[in-house]
Amino acid sequence: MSESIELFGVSNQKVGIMSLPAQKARTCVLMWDVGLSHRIGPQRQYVEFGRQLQALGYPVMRFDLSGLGDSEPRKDGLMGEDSEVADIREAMDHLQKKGFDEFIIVGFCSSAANAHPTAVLDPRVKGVVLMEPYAYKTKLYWFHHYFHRLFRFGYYKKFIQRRLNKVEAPQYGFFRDYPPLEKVANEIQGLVNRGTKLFYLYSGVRGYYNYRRQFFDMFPSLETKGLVEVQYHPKADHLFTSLEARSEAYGQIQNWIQVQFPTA
Amino acid sequence: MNHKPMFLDDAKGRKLFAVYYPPSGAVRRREAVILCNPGLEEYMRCHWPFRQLSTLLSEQGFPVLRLDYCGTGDSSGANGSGSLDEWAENIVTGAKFLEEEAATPWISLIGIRLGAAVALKAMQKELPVYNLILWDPVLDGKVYLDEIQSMKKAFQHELSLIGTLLQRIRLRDDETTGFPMSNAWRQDLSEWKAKAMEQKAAKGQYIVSDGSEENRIKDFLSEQSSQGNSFVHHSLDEKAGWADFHATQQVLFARQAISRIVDIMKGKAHV
Repeated sequence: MSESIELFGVSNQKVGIMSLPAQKARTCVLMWDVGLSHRIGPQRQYVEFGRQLQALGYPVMRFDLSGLGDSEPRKDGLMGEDSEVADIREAMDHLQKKGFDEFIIVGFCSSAANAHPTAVLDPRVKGVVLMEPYAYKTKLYWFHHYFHRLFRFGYYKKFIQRRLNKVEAPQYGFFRDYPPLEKVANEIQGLVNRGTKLFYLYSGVRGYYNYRRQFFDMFPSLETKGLVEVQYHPKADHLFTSLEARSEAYGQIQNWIQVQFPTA
Repeated sequence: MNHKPMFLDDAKGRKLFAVYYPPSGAVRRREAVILCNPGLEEYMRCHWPFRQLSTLLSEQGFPVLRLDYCGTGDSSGANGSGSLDEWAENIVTGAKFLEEEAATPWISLIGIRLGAAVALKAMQKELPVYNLILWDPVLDGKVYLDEIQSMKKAFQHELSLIGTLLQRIRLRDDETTGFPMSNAWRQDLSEWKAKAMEQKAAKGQYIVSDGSEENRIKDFLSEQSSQGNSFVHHSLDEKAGWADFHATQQVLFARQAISRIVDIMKGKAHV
């Protein structure tokens, strides 16, 4: 296993782990914190996936955003998305000095929310993998939402119990405010027009995405030019916790990377 | 940045990721500290509080090492590899690093949850342990396995609400909530019982608990006391929710426990 510590950013305040394959490569894969968890990813998914990619010839760096994991906070006053995007771009700056000029960035849920604007801003990003990214409910979403409940007698029981006890329905998954749909649609089109390759992956958490073609219904005017792939895993929870679901999901991501960014 | 991430080589040549916090502040202590991580399922919860604890202790003059066991964190090894004994050996690797780097005559071990078991096992390996702090310790591996099983059941129930009628996923027998669990690991955990260990004594021995395992802790303390081995028990009212499946995905905010541990190490804690 060839891994090294990378310290980068202002005053080398950020920490990353670089997995380098034996052969030289131009394209590096980047992964970073998901929510408050650190660079190893949920259930150490990024460590295992990163090493799989390394074995296939892809350099991978997993790192901590400012203030998370083992990285120190920023001192320049940048906060929120601005800070996160700056951190990711600094990671790319650091790796560019080491000879990498193209990047595939992998975002998962909250890190998908900062991967997307980073890709929009930075043309060095040639590939984007977004797991559990933005999702907008369509008319067919609501049809599936209620149809799914028709045959689930447990839902009726819980519905009555909640009404009697005056409690809210639990929310499964991670909910956050998405940017306006039109803005995101335009940005995705801009990425496609730039030639960026995009891979979207949604789980079976039904709070925001519940059928296979929902992505294309969310963005009906999107001209994909063959650069957009979407996968839906109805059996997977938000974090792809089960080993079976995780293996399928990461297998698809790996295949996509190998097809879209073949090693020399 | 004061702390130093690094890779150490273990006895089998595997890479162990560690972060070293050199002592800062006016005081210099004669003991270095190793923080012993919990098991895979609880690792993510404990990363942030362990980072806080490392920083606070280093500010009090202690050299501190946080270490990922083989098969965990950024160390080499797949999920589900390793064993409690191998993890205890990894602590010895950390202790050897501190012996050279910090040149302190003593080591203190702070183990959280399964890390407490690792700390107790590491003590069997002739380390010069000054203080031993067991934070919400796993004292009985079978109970721990039961907790993992019940969290798995809770998660399976949630999965049943996710899939469509025709598409459900069932967790395999050889996995927990997100990690593989081999028969060897299951056996290792089921054989773990703190009471059964012939316990070597550190100079200062403490248990810091959230109040949820008091009976088991009392039994352990009574057994240790009968062997002439005393522990001071600090019981806090800050529930960590170790057996709660949803809590496994949340960072542990343990202000009281961290503060108490720092006080213990500074020699100022009172029960």
